Amino acid sequence: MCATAVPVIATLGLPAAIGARVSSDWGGTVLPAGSRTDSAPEVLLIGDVDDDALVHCVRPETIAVLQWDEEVPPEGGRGPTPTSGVAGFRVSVLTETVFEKPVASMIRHGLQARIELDDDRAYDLETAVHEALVNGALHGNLGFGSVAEQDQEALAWLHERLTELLADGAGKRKRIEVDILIDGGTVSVTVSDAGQGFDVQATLERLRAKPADASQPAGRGLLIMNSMADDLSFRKGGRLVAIRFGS
Amino acid sequence: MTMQVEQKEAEGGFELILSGRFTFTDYPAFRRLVSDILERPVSGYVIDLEKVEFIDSAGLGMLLLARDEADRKGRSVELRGPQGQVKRVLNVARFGTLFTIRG
Repeated sequence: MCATAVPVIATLGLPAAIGARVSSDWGGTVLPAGSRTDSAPEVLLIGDVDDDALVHCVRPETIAVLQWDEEVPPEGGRGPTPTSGVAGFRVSVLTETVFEKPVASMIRHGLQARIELDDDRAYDLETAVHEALVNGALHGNLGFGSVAEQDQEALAWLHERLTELLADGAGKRKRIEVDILIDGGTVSVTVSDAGQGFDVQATLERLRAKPADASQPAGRGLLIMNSMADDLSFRKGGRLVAIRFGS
Repeated sequence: MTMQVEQKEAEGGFELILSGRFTFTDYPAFRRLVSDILERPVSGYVIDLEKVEFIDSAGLGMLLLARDEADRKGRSVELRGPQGQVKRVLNVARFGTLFTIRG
């Protein structure tokens, strides 16, 4: 990677001291909170932000939106590498944020700030990305097995266990990382989790074999993702899902 | 990031008017609502989705749960007015075969 200008970093909902520390660790320039300058922030470090601020935080110049956490610093604590020539941005959040914040909605708004995307397609993308985030958080980072064999009570069980796991489980400190790449009229989104992966083949077979409606809880998220996206594939043993929109 | 709910008595039934985002986190609140409604002396109820902006697979699961619970007690549940993303997701999941959905 050739030497590029140090990224301009802005913090959102974080103490000023964190911005100063990150700027010295990562070698970037940190904008003072709430500053209005000509240097548009390329990297946003996110702390405690309300939904509306989060949803509208991605600008055309943003290359990364990273949730700050002391124990699990984003990007392995090294700071993001600006990738010149690639249009897109990266999002990195903790597991619990997937359930608590409209992350996929932020990604949709971020895309619509850059490219023309009609509303229907934009919502298809948000829906598919949301399902991928929830899958990665639930089955990846939190290690829930498939609930294929269970009935409606699965939802109740899942919710109870989720509350427990988010309270003190190790999974809550894992990250979900999303890369959004724009290439002409094609948008490719990859969602990666830090879990154990899953049996991709068996899951896809079950998806194909299941009845034509969504009355079974198994694979409903996958069914939605598959219907919304132009292409859906899994890599890294199921730890990465790639969703493509456009040809 | 949770949904809002309005409950309304209607002629011959009851209405649950949802708005906002209807996702996984809304499960406990929705479950309670559904149980409470079935305590009422109504033959069925309507879930109004017109003001729901976004629904996910867990939201679909909750609608099915409402239907199953009502079935068990011999009541009916209808969906009404899905728009935009919600309409699209209900179509994809073929909810028209599982529910009566009114414009």
